[in-house]
Amino acid sequence: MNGILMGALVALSMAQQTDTVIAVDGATRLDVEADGGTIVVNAWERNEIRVQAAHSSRTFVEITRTRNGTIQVESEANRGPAGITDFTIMVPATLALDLEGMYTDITVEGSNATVEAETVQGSITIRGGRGTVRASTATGEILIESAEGNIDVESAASDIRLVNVSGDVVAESAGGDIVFESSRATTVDAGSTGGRIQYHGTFQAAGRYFFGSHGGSVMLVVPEGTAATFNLATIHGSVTTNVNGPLERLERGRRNTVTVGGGGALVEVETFGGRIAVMRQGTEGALQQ
Amino acid sequence: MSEHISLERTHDLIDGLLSSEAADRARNHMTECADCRERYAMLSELTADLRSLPRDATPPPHLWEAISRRIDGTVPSEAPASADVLVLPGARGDGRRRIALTIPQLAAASLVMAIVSASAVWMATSRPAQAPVPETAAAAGTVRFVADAASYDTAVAELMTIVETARPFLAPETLLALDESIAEIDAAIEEIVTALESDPASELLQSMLVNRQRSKLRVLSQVARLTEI
Repeated sequence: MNGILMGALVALSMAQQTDTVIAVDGATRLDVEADGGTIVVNAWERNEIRVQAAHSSRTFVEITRTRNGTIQVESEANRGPAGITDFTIMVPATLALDLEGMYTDITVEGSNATVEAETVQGSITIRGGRGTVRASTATGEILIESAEGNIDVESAASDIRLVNVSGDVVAESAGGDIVFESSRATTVDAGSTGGRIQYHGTFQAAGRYFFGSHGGSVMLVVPEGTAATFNLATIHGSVTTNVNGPLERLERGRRNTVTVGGGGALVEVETFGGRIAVMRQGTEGALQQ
Repeated sequence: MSEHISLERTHDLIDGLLSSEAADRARNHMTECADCRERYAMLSELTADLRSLPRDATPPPHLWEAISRRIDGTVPSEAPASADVLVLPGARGDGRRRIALTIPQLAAASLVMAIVSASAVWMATSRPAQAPVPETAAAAGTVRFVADAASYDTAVAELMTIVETARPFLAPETLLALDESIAEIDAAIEEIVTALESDPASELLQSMLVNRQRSKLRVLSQVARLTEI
């Protein structure tokens, strides 16, 4: 632990509602921990942090400030684990966020800083985020929207949706689907064992993209004007493409290369048994019918 | 001091991070508070056990360099001096102490060992997604993955120990989802292994196998890490 506890700023006990405002006062990071309940963090214009929490009388909220510029907000109980706590926290958009829970739904709106969110069972929604954006849940859906930078999301069993993201994206779900909408990612590494993967967005000329699903389908929607090389490989699945005419002959167990626009982005797709579809934008509808 | 000593503050007391005045106050409080005294004793014991772990749990220097590069693009001049703090790819780099209070001490010790093994296999199997891949190599299907079966099996076994230890603390829905995910990955691995028996030279199957192994490690590491919260 880098920070040395300077002292509790607020320790509000035996209250069913907590509502306090503290100055940012040079802090650059906010850590929040709640074993169960919800953590909702919204950005606002003020250079202050408002912590509101609903909890049982045996649970209290402890807020501490460390010397390394971190403000920690945690639900605690004098005996045993803290009870369910529903946090609503307002923060400056530039404050880095580190949010953790066990059985906790986490939502972040409007951040313009690093966001890291982890929960065991619960959904994660992050709108905004810049630099590093991480989301990890064992069982819960993940939505990442308008995030920029190094984006790393994992859900063991549930769906992942990435909307209007840019930068380097790693997404993995064992059983869930992974869907990109309006993506502007430069690199993508997306893998699912049983789920399907869909990518709607641009392929940057210098970008590198990997999409792999064992049993699920992978569909890429390719915008007009894309310059890319697609390496499409399946063992027992099928390949459908119309970006450069239909595939003349599918060689199973090998990479089948399709080039559009003279190449540029390198796009690799692998499935064991799932269908691969690489379709011109606007034509994917027919495939889904 | 009439209020209980927080968890963080207890850790700081054990680590000698409190000022002498604050430490005296905490100790005075513990003379009157059995709860805080018990927590202090339990954490002291756990910390001592963690510190007594064998130093050979330290990852080899080349591994540490690779992990460091992946984390922040820098290369340390030497391996970390202590095995007490290990940083996994994707984990926070703030050195914040995280101790598994909900898992017995054995699990905490196992976690350190498992993380070392998993990190090694993870690094060996990770796709260099952000590094330029020579187009000719990719087009030719050059093998870019290395799978070490023994290391992988060890890492999985160690992580499974953590997950099994944490099992009583997880909700039934979480367990069900976890078991289904692992079963799905295992079934996929079995399918690929069967296919490899017919076509052992297939680079595509080999890379698929490593990808699925990587998925299993990721799921297990994720659960092990999350239950440490």
